[in-house]
Amino acid sequence: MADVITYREAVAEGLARELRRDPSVVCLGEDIGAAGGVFKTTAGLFDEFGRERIWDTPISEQAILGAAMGAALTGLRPVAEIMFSDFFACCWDYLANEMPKLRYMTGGQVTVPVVVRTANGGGLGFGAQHSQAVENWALAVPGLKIAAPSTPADVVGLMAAAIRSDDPVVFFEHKGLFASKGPAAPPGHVVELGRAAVVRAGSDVTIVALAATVPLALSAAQRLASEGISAEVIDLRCLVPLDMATVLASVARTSRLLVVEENPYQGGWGATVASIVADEGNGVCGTSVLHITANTEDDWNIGNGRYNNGVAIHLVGGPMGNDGGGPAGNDGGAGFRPDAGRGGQMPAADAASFYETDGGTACTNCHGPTATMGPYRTVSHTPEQTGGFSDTDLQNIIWNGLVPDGGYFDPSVLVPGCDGGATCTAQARNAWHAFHRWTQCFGT
Amino acid sequence: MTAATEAGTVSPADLLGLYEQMAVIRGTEKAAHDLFLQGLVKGTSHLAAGQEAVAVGASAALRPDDYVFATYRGHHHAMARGASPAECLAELMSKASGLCHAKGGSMHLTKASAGMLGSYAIVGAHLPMAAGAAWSAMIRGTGQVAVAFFGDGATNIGAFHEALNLAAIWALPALFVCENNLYMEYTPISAVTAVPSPAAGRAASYGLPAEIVDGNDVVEVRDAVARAAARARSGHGPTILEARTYRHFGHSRTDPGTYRPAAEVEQWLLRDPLQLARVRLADLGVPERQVAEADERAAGVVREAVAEAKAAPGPDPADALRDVWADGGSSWRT
Repeated sequence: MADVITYREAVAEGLARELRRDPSVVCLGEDIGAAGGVFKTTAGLFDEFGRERIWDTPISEQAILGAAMGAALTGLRPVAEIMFSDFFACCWDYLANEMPKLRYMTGGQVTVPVVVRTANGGGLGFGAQHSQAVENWALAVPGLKIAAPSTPADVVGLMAAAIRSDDPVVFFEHKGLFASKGPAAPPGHVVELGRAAVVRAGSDVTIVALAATVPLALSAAQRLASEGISAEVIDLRCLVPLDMATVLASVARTSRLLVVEENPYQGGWGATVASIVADEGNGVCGTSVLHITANTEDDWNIGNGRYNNGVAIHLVGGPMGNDGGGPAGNDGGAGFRPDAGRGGQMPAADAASFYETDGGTACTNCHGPTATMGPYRTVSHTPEQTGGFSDTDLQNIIWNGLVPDGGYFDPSVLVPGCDGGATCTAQARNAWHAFHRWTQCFGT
Repeated sequence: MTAATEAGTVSPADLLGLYEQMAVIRGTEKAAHDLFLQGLVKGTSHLAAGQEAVAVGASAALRPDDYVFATYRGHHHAMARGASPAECLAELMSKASGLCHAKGGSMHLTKASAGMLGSYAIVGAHLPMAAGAAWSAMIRGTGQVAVAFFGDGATNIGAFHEALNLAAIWALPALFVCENNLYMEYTPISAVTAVPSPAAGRAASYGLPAEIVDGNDVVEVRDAVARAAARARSGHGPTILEARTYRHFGHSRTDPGTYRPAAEVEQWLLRDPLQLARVRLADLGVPERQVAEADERAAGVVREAVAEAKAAPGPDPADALRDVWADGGSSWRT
């Protein structure tokens, strides 16, 4: 076999290797037999293995996956093809309710060793109903394993692991990669499910990618290198199991994370990766998520020393522009302090820009049921979150209106009806910024 | 499997055995109902009282290694294939000793070791699975058949039609057995279906043979399933059976079934499967005493099952995430 093969050829090669190795492997799907598949990803299989192993089906996605599942329950290792991943919507019951649930809901009586292959992703101009990248649909369902290779060798290696898996595996073949070429897989090549690959080493930023975004990330890394930035590129290869160990180890070195996903922003695997890094990354990319919410009595009753009832944060420095170097620093002479109103030299507890005292009223002057001034009595940052920020974070939040990495700012709290658009978000941020510099809280 | 007999004939001993199986199922379903009323069963339940003859008759015609797929109204199929009343009731009561270790509940009774490959609560979903099990049997050359039991309501969902077509074109050793109890849930099936016989009436579309049978007559069901299974095993493909039957309770435990005319209910209760079997037993000369003894044995089995299920411990919370994956675990990341 050639040293270099296409991703498309690798699909057929990966299937052929398992069909040769294990007589219980059978394939079914639309046009996969003599036609060789609409993407020619099953080319040659019908000739080599015949009708007893390679089964053409009607256009019946439910029957394809249901039959595959029934066969998987009774001694075969079926590999079902759903021609385009968009068509998962036609047979979603099997991917959401049946294959992933049966083992659990029978108390472990059965296994479902089935592979569902599909052509996924955009870029070929097939329109809105044949171009979606839907791996996040599968990610939302516990009980499915998910592979999405980016190279021909990984196609073969992950196909072997998927077919040998006793759990259901959804195998996303990327349409945009079918024509791409790469080194052929060595004999017996198996890539264990749930092992990401560091496909380019780097030290300044970690780029996490999957399937078609892997070559994109590699291309970006190449460009960054010319600008003196060293990017590490990780190919996740699988979403379940998700190899966060590799991502966390990389981020621990680079301190920066970029996820590159061919998907709508909301609810994607990139958000999952980012949230795990925020949660477990030891703060290298920021550990706090800042929510500004409409508060409740409980928010205030829960209390957080730093925020509400106990320790207050004071700006060190004088009233008239001499505020001691808080990050925003330049009060233009207003010198307002949250705890004591304008004016007055506050004693510094230490040499830092901020100090804390018990019993201050820094925030409760303006927030919460005891607030007597300002329009934000019913708006709060939740106490736990505020308590979780470092002093530096708080300085940046309060004085500069800067949200730490991993945080977010909800503009609709300050500008009712704001839909996240640039203009109203800027208005909200300005209002918040101004407020926390106390120019309006104590203003005219 | 009862001894092969001429259609419509059955030995007194075989029929008494079938009768006792049905009596056990009936008693278990009533016990389940009572346990619900006592608050000892959580969730919902869809009782099969009245439909026992379909499960027991079919099982009598099947091989032990054949496959059965049932619906959320599937207690009778689990028990007919060998699940004990105790393990069924324990499952309903979320006990560790339940068939599915308290992870399935009433709608998912499964006894895989007996070829009873699940009860499915998405209407029609298991028909393609049964086709797949039959496909597997054909490929492996085992001579097994796969049976999908489903309600009349399933005949209007896409999976039903996709499964029939696939089974037909591949001549799969599959049996599609509709338990037509006249109501999809609360609505008469006749009000929402274009043909009078919701399952059998669709057979011609797929070039399949179909039979309409008295689903309350255990012998008639047994014989029809035996014919269809023989046909399937000999390579002649699937058959549709439409068993006309009736449920004694409502659709689910919250449904008193008031939408059913009283006269209709009364008429069907007269044709109760146990009553029909008693008439047949009398015709065969089986003494009433023997029938009463069978009833007593069945009642004893149910009594013990209730006591056993009540006494069983609940599941260990540490097992809550067991068995998501084949290795027993639930981890989704490293």
